[in-house]
Amino acid sequence: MGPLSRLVAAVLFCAALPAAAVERPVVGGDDQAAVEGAPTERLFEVFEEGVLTERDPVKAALFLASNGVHARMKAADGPRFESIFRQATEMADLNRVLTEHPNPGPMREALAARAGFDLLADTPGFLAWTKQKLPHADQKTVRAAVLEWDTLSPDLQKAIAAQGAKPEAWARQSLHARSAALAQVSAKALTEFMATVPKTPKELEALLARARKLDGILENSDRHKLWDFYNRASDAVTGLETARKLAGKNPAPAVKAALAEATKAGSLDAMLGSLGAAFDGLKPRGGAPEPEAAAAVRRAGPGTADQRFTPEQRATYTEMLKHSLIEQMKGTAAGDRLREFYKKEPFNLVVKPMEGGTMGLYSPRDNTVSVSEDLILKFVRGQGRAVGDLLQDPEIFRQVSQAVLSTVVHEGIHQEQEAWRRDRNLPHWYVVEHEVEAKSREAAFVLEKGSKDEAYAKFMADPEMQKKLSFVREASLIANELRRDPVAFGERIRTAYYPGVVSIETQARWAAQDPAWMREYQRGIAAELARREKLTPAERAALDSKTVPQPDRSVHSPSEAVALVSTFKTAELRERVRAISQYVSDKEAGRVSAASDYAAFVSRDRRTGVEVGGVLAMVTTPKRTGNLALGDRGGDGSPPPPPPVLKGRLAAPPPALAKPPLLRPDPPKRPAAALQSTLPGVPRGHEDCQNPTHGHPRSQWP
Amino acid sequence: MALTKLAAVLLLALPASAAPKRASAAKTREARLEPAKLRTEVPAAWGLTQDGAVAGSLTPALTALGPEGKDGVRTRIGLRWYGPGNRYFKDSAAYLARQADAGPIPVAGEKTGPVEDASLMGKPAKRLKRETFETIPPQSHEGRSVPVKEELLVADYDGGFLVLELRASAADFDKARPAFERAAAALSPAKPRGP
Repeated sequence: MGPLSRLVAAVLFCAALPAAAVERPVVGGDDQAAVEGAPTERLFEVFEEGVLTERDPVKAALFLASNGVHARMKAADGPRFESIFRQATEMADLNRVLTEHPNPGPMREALAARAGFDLLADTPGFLAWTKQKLPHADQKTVRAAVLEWDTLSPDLQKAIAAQGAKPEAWARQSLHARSAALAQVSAKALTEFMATVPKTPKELEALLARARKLDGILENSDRHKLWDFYNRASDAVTGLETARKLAGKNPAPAVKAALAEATKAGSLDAMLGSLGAAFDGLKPRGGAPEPEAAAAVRRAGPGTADQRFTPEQRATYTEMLKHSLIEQMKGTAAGDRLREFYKKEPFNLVVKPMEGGTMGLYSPRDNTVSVSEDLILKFVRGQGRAVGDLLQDPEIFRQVSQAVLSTVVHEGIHQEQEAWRRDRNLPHWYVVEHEVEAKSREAAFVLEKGSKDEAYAKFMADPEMQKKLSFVREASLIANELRRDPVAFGERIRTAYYPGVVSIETQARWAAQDPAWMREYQRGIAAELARREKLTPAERAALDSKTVPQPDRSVHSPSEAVALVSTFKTAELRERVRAISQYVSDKEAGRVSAASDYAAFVSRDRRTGVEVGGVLAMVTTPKRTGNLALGDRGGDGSPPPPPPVLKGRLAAPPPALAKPPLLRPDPPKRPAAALQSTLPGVPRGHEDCQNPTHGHPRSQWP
Repeated sequence: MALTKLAAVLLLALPASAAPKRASAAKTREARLEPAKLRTEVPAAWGLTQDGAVAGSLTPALTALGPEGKDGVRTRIGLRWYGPGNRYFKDSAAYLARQADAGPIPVAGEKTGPVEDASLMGKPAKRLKRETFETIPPQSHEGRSVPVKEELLVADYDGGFLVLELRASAADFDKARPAFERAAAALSPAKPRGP
């Protein structure tokens, strides 16, 4: 499932796409007045010349900003308008990518993921365009981003050559093919890296040097894995040094054995597990706290059996948490908005494992809001507690529920965005602007809650809690960044937190894909299906069982997409043919409009600033008097106590609430949804994201 | 007339981020903040991003993004204008008060220095320094907390106020300051575009 899984990956940001942040083009009042006053045919002449022939990003920006004339141009000649719109969004998007990223790695990922972009189908042509039309783009960086042979390090050239690539042939290869070759090399290098278990500071230093080299060639999702592994290894080495010092020359036999196990451990989990056992035997007397190195080992390690959820415990805890969170949201703008929303929509909370970097997730496929079980259990382990304590001890329950509250608000906002799209029959565009919206509202929620709820503020401001709980640390950072400078906040969220998420312009470009491109792709699929029809059912079944999806890579031309169809299962290919037919038919009949969808998303983006500004105006100074009205704090100010627990046994889960259906009935089939599910490399909805990315650790709304 | 005007507009319109003029010094390039009509100079090799650059915007922002340091933090020089009647701050005094206020949930270990007198574009301004943190990668389970420094210059401008900011890891901050000082020295009202 090559290009399609890239499609999923792009949405999930598994193929970390550097920020194609929204840049609404600079258009002065005079420019717009001139455009809006011009006759329609003249507009076509000017913009066809400027956008299609000259490929001038300046003209493209002016076209996009002039949405006042789009409707009449489209009414006059739909296909001509779509052509200009497609190229204009493509150029605006590429301009942004090239100007925002001074480093080749993130720029390369962004370019590689722009599936179907005409300018990227021919690498020499793309380089010539950037040189001529984007003089501010640093050519050295752009050449390195498109993996020109002479920009590769000797080690990388050697590794790629070992796979059979030759420099002369490389020069003719597309970015898609070059990225594929690089992905093979980097995947192997990462596997080798994560098989290394350093035991000494010197070995750790060597590992760090390897990590820095590898960092430059990995995609963002793999960068997360790389640095998570390195940081855990660092905790392990520091832990081993500390434990040895504490153990001294004559350690107790159990401690000695545990240290010996740690020293020869073949995996990081095994090493951390043994170190945890060693620290158990080295606990300070008199209840004094353990050294930080010990707590870090426990947090990073796998934990003991009673520090992992059983299915029953997870279900009970989730119900308890759900009730508590809804109560705690009360009394804030974002929280009250969500509480109203959840009167009509289901609040399906899930606690589940997530990979490093992901704190929460909204999935429209099953309409669930999830929080990271890993982070919750990391806290439990760090406190030396068990999962049973989480269910029975009101204090630790309260701490975790307060910590995850703003994450759940964030994911709830994504659910609300999904309902907005559904109710307006808009396509499933996952865009960075929606992350900025969710982050802005989340940060505003933390500020407002903190200004009204003294207990919440005290907990979130506690330095120990900020150290032990990622949720708390991140909430305090973003709340302060928003409070101090809301304008800088948006840019930082886009470029530092979500560099892999595409913009509204990217999605609009995809939605305006040329039907001719799709028809060529469809012919390729049809040819493959015809070939498979000649196989016996047994042969076809064997083929389907053996097909392995291509690793996630984007494609820029129909021929590249067709080259990957043999890796798809037969049922998937039949679905694609059907969906493409529908898309082409809808396009030709004028039933889909990328430009209208674009305008709707831009409009929502602009409204966010207004609404968040209103909250900030309300929360400019803290108003904690200690005498808050009950209504302001959501009940009595603390989370509802967990249900009573029978001694030694879990209580029965609380009575099930009347649950609305998990899935709402499907809305009427929308033509654009068909496109979104078939265009190679284009993000598709209704999939869960399981792979976080560097700078895209949360809210992986597929 | 309309056609001529349109042609002129299309031929000569130069959005800030698309075709900046090369500054006389080879290592910097011009960056324009529209519609605030401000210009400055930033390192030529840095990326540039703009927000809110539309007619009538009261909060346009421009950020020059430098390369990532060894610790993963990107150096950035930001220029923002908060116009009169913007929805966030009444004036520069309100902005500065917000910087100095710890807020309801302070970041542990953060330090904000006193507001000092300074000058910008030949007029009185205020300077503020802060030591804070970034998590690299952000929101990661095992993210490293990297010390970061900020320096802000705030001055009244055109009925509102502007903010020029340097943000970099503590390790790279001193290295980045010359670029910040150049940006401050080069900051000036931008001449209107067009024929």
